[in-house]
Amino acid sequence: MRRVLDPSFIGKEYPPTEYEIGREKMREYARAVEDMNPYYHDKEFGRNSHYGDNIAPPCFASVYNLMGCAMMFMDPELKLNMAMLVHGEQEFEFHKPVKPGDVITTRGKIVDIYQKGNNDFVVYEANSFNQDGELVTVGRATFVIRGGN
Amino acid sequence: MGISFEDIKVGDEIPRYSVELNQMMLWIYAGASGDFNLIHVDKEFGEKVGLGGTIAHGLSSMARLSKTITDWVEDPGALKRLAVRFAAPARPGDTITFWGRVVEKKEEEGKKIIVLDVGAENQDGVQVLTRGSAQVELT
Repeated sequence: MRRVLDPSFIGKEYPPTEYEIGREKMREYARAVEDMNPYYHDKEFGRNSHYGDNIAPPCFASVYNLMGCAMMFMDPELKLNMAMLVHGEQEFEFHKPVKPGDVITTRGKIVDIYQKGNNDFVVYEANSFNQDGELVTVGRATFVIRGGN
Repeated sequence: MGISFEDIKVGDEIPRYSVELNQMMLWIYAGASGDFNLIHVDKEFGEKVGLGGTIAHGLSSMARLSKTITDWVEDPGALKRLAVRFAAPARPGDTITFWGRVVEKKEEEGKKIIVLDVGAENQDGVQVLTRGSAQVELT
C-alpha cells in the first residue's frame, strides 16, 4: 500500500500572513503579463475613477493570497512530497479590489484532502482581509501529488 | 466606453488575446511574483526533471486570462471570480491564445451578472487552461 495523505489534516490552519500592497509592485506584476490597463498604471486615471486610486490587477492575489502556502509546503507534520507536487487548479473570488497602501492579512487552511487514481490532492483555502477587516479575496488552490504522497 | 449588459448575448465571444512566450518573460514573471522555482527559470533543471525545459508559471497564464477578460470589461473591479485548471504546460516558444465565451446572463439582487467559459490553448491546439470559469458583474 502506498502512503496516502492523512485526511485528518483537513481543517488545519496556518498562521496568518501580512502583505502591504505597493504601487510599484502591483504595476510590476501587471507589466510582467503585459497588462497595461490604466486602472493599474495611470495615477491620474485611478484618482478620477470610482476607486479614487489605482487598484491592483485581480490576479495580484497570486502574490498576497497564496503567501501562506509556503508554510503548508514546509509543514513537518504533513510531509508533502514536494518533488511530485504540481499546482492543479486555482480559483479566486474577488470581493473587493485592493489598492496601494492596503495591508492584507491572509488566513489559510487545508479544506480538503482526497485521492483520485494514483494521485493525492490537497486543497488550500485562503481568505484575505484588508486593514478595515473587509474580505477582499478568497483563493482555493488545488495541489496534486503525482503518484501519491 | 466599456460593454453594456443589455448588448451582451449568451454565446458571444470576447476578443481573443495571443502571446508568444519567451524565456525572458518567464524570468520577469518570476521577479514580479517572487516565484523562482527552478522549473520556470533554469532550462537545464527543467530538462533534468523530465519537463523538457522550462515551463511558464501556471498563475502567469491565469493572469493573462484575467487580462483578456478585463480588457473586454475595461474596469478590472468587475471581475468577481476566476477559476482554472492548469491542464498542460505553456513553454517558451509557444503562442498561447486566451479566449472567453458568455454562457449565462442573469440579474440577482440588483446585480447584473455575466458568466463566461474561459480557457487557453497553444499553437497546436493543446488546452493549457481548462474548465475555466469567470464571473463579471456590471453596474
